[in-house]
Amino acid sequence: MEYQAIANVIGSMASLTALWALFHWPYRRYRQELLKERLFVARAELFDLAADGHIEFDHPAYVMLRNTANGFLNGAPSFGMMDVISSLRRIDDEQAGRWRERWESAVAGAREPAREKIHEIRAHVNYAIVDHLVFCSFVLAMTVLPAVSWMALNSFWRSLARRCRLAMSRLVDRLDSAAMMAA
Amino acid sequence: MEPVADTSANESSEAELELRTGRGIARDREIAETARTAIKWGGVAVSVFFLYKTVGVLAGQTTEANILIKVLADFRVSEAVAWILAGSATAVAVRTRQLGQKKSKRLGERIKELEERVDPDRSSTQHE
Repeated sequence: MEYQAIANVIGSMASLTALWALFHWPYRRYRQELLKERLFVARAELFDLAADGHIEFDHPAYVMLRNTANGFLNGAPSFGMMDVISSLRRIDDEQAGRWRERWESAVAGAREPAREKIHEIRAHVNYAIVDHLVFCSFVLAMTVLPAVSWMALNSFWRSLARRCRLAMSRLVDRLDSAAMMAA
Repeated sequence: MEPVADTSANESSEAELELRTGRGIARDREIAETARTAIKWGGVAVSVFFLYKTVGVLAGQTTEANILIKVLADFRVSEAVAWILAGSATAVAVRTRQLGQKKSKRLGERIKELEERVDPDRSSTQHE
């Protein structure tokens, strides 16, 4: 092997090691901070909802959503794919169904503007968690992201093609109309 | 009195189930943390191993290089990896800084807003 090639190997290996370290340390820390920030924002929105008098601080929906956000916040430093596997393994359909029933009856007991806002806040919390999982898991990032990008690109091209067809048909209609009038 | 006893027994078994599930989840988290640490440092160990193999090739100990080493010996691959590293590191640094600024701004505004709620006549400083 030539010296230049060996220098390339050493350079590539050093860069790959640095990329690995970047992904597992600074990037992961950034994603954890981002997750915490999003959860704190969602929790502050919930607090404001109660502080403005739309829902009571001891309302079951408020308490459940706050506890859920707090549970995610407690696990945020190490939250990852293993937590998903663990919850799939440890929480069966019956337990999940009971939780859903409790949640639905709690939200149904809230007044209308608060009910919608509570669903919105829960969606923010869930989005923050899914986003964190996808971008923090190397395997998910390598599988889900290309699939989603492909779907988005595909949808964009279809929409573009439809618009082009529409524009072309309008043009052709005008041309045909002009030709007919000139005849 | 029987229904009361039933309800209390149900609540107790539910609480026990929740406790057991909570313990199981905590144990899984510890296993996950150990696995994550092993993966992180395992990657570093693999890099060191390949570097060692490269030095072995350099010293003329072996003429048969691993396929990965052969790929990495290409100048274009080496350059591309270096550019990806530089770009990713810059992106992470910029995003981390932006997140810090956003957080400081949010907390500053939040405190101001809460202070104004408690005392609407309060004159706040404009520090962020």
